Amino acid sequence: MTEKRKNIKFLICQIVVAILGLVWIIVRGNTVLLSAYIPIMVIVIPATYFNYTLCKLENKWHSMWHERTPCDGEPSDFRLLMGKISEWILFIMALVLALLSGMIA
Amino acid sequence: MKRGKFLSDKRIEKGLSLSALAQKLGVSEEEVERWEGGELPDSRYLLPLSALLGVFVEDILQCGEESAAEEDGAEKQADPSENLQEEQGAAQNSASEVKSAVQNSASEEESAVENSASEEQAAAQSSASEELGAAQNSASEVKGAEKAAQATAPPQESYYDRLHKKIGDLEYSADDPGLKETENGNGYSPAERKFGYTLFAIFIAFMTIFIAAGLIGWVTRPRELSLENYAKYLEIDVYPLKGVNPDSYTVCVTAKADISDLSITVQVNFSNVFTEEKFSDTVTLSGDLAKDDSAERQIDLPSVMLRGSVSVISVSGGLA
Repeated sequence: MTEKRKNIKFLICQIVVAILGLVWIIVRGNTVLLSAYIPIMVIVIPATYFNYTLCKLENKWHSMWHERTPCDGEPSDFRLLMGKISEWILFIMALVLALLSGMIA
Repeated sequence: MKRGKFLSDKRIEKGLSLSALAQKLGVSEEEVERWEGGELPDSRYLLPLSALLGVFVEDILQCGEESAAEEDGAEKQADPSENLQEEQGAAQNSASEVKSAVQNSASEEESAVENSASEEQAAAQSSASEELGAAQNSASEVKGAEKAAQATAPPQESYYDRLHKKIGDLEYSADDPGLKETENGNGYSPAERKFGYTLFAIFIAFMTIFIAAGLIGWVTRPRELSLENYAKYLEIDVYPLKGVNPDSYTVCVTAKADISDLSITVQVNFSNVFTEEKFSDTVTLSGDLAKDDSAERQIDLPSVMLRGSVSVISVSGGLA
């Protein structure tokens, strides 16, 4: 299986898990949590996939903003790693919200 | 040495397994097996493959050329020189024979024969040069393939690569794929996928546990009211009819769920603050109550008294 297929398969699994969490919150009746759950998931899932592109856009912005000290446009591995970690933390927080709706009566 | 064996030996020398090499290059294991079987790797993988195995691209290509040359190419490269020597020898022999024959004849025949011998030599030399040219063309094709491989090589070092090298960061490795597994850098690394699948499994396990607990709780729910569980399904309130100097109270029982055939006996104690007179009364309420419905009973006191304790003597009823 090529890398692209593996990535798409993983992305689909991620979306399915997010939908499961959404359904769980609705079934438990804690619709107040949806106001936080849906925006987090809508932002985090594409951001996790397009992390490299987003970091590159940030570099581009940096180059335009700081004309005298532009970079070469290539994001560092550290920046990519920090982006990924923050996105996964947000994803885990959203899943915890979904699980909390199961604990709350 | 054949190319496939060469690649296999170098891979083993570097301590890489088939799957590890395939993963680092972003190809399937079957493709690496084909390479080690003798197939020439795609040009875009030549440079990264050579970097991983610690060899030159030329070595990879020449191994294949040598293996082909063992069958045809080496002969072709040897043939021109051998053919040239043979043909030159044949031409020289024929020229000498002709010369000896001509010595007995006229000078015109001698010159004509010498011309023909020289023409034969020239023809032999031209055929040899053509074959040499063909060998050189095949070598130039190899160089062209190498140039094509270099043309598809990864881009130049980034600012951060140069920076880390400049400061002597020995732990930094520009060859480490890191997060940039795909061609354009988007997507997920294998470690990230493993972590993600583990997280999904944990989440689904928790949800399954909650669903199972809910199902079990529903199946094993209490079906009847008792003194142990009545507080969960009934709310009992005793309040005076008048705000000042109350001499009558109402006992109100409110259902928190649907209850059928409810029968509850409540004892309420009263006391007079001034005379310390005590009074106690027991009321029984019964009937079917839906959720949020209530039943009431009035208690009339002999004098003005304040409410004391309330206790449930008995309770019975059916739960939905």
